[in-house]
Amino acid sequence: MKSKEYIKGTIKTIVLKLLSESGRMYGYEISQRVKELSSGELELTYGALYPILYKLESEKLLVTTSEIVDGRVRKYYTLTSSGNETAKTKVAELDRFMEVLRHVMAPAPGSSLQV
Amino acid sequence: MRSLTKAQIDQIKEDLEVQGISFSPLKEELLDHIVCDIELKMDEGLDFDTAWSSVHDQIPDNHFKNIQKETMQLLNKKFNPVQISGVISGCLLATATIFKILHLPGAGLLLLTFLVGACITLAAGSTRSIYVYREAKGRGAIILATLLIIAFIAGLCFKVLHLPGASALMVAGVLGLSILFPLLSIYFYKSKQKLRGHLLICLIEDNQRIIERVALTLIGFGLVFNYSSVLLGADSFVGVIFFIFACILTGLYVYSLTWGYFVNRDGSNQSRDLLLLVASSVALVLFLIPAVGFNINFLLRQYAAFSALVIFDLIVLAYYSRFSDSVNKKILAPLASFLTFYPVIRLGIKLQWFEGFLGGLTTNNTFIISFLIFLIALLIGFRKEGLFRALIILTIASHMIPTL
Repeated sequence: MKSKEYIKGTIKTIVLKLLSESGRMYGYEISQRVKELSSGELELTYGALYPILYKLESEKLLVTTSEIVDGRVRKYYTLTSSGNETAKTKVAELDRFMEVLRHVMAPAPGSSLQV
Repeated sequence: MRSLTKAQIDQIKEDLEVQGISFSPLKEELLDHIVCDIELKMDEGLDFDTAWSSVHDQIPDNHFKNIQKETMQLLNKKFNPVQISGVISGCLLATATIFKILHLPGAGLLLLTFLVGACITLAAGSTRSIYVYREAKGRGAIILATLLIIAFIAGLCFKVLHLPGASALMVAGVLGLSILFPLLSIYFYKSKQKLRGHLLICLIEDNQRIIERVALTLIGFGLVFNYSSVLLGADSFVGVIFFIFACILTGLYVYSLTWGYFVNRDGSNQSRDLLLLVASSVALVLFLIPAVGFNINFLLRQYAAFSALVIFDLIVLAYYSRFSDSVNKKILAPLASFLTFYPVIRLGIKLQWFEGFLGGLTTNNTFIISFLIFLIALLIGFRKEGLFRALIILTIASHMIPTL
């Protein structure tokens, strides 16, 4: 699936949603969870994920804690209370958008795009 | 799950540094992510080297550097004093130009305030870059370069105001830059790809377009000053100052473009790289000699300035004729060789080698404007060719200075 062009505006919401469900996660874990939930169709590259995580942290929607794992630092992200609120709003907005998009993209009766 | 050894982790960390990642928190996170990726592949049966190479091959060139750049921009975009200071300086310059054209009192003072504003913008820009890339190497170099450029501008202000110490400040600035820049070149030349994240490299990469726009703006204001003065029958000294500024700025910028090449060089062609280091550094020193002012012997000044331009032209010519992958190289190489003749002709005119039409080219307004239009057309036509673009801006600035 050519997902790159569609996913860009939704990464923030995806990250917030996953964190609201899992409590705390680290970068690699988030990217793997997205891959797993999408059966490998969606892949968050380093370039797509980390700038967003830093942006959310600077907006105080996330807080971080660090742990040493196998001799390297692992940074965990957790939602703040405002992050939780934003996650709810963003997920609801995206749901609504997908619903609208489904209506828009529904092929008209007799359309050649009908599958 | 198989764990990596400390030596293997250090190898990945070193590679991240080579890729230009200097911001520690990001480096630690990317390291953890890559190690997890490698461990997963090793669990599937690959050895470390194959797994590392497989992960590494999936990462496009400059990907990490762009992530760091994007992250730093996101973290620091809330308040940008440099932009504010730059806009204020630009407004001062525009107001000064209008005052000067309309012969209103206070134009000189406004211009001086603009120069002070330019110094403040430069200092603010350097401070901000140190803050944004706070973990990168190169604070000392950037502070020193900023101080030397400010010393030169301050010297110019002092000269306009007839204050004592003007020449000393200008000489200190130029001499300092003539020593500092080649030393930095040697430092980058010897870096063996370990200084990709150096503050100066990041700063130049981030601000290429801004530097070029500032140079073009200065040239633009210089043109307005010059031609309004010519039309109104006044002197055109102020316009020339702008061209000199634009010329020095672009010259330093063209030279600094070699740093980006040196920090990325793989050492496969030692003699070419060494030749570039020597030729560009000689060109820079020659280029800066006339900036000291009229204390330098006339002949030396002419030979120095025009030889520097010829060397810069030859470097660009060599690049487009032998090393560039550009689709336009077949056009750009002949154009660069054509431009190499221009400083030679200018030198001949200054030293009165020619007579008649050729001897009077630099005072022939039709030629000056036609050649300027030709250069602007080249700039627009080849705006995506970074090195050629920089050379054209340098040629425009030097073309507009009638008396080097």
